Amino acid sequence: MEELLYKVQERFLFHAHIRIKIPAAWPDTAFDALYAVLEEADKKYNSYQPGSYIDQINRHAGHFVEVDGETVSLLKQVIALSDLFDGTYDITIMPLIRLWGFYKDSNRRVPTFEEIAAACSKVNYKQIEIRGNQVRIAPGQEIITGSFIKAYATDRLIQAMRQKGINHAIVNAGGSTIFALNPAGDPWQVSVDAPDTETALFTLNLDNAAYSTSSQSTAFVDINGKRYGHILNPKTGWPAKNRMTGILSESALIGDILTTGLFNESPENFLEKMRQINTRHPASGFLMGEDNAITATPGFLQHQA
Amino acid sequence: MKKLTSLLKTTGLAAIGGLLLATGASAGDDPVKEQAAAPQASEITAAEQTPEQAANSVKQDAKKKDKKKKSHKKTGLEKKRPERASGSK
Repeated sequence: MEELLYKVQERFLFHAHIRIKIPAAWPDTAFDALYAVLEEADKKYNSYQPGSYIDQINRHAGHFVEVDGETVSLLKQVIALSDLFDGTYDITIMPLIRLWGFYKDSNRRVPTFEEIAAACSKVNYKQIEIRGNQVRIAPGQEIITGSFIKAYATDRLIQAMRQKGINHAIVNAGGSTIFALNPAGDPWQVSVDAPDTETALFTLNLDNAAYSTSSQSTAFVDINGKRYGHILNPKTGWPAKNRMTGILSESALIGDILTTGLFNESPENFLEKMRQINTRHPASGFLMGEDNAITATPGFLQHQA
Repeated sequence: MKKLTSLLKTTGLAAIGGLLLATGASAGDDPVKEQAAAPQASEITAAEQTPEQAANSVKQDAKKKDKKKKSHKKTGLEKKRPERASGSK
């Protein structure tokens, strides 16, 4: 049987290269409509986009801000998923992100313990108040959507692709969020890179599912020869020690949040949390610790190519 | 590239439903082992450096700096091949 050809485009959104690959029979103009889905989510819900709903909530901390229904729905989803963790996933972590210098290259130094404690006191997603279509965060708080907005947009894109009848395609959003659509029995494959070296570690089958990964290797600050990864523990204020997480799930949003939320866990806790999460959201995955050992759920192993 | 199950090393963790895998036996052929250990946050003390010293020594990940923020609207043709998963949010 002749191998299918696909059309592929790559555009830069969410500070990432987003690759969309669809069957070659589709016209080139199809890409404009697909990227428009991502662009809309970026414009409306990305905290880094001036004027987005989340940006407005941040700018008016302490006051209720009128938003659209989708902002409310998105925040409720993220808050519900945050409740799966014991404070190790928190979208109000921005004060700590700023403190460590992971935003706009400012203030890159090891903070004092007092500074960390002060920033941690502002981090608490449970202080996000939603009243109808109005949202308020506490004074000094700031929401950061970086850990989930690209995944949310990818889920929206996949939904749009299905509605258009594109059922054999793959979206690679910056390498850290990948979603595959495929006919039964014809999965896509994902080559999982090792941290730092970007050499292939192993290959997974991706069968109408999302693969998400987080790593400390690609975003870090180097202070006096020590690397401090950008994934911080909201409870302690310090960078997480683990090296990488990878999650297979039915939703990129869930996968991306799990890869961040579970990043601070010990191997034992990672497995236990995954077991608990699986009762509500089917997912499998692995955690690579600071010693490079990989702890994987049994379900994850079934997806290796 | 390694087969995930070929790296399988069972431990006590298996008893609670998981599997612990080593990422390679020798440093020579294992890309992960070649990397420096992750920073130990517990080893860090704020007294180690003044803010000025620290700020002066700060470097930015070169790879991040080199990222070209370009969009490639030109459509290419490809066969089905594995997508690379790497990076972070």
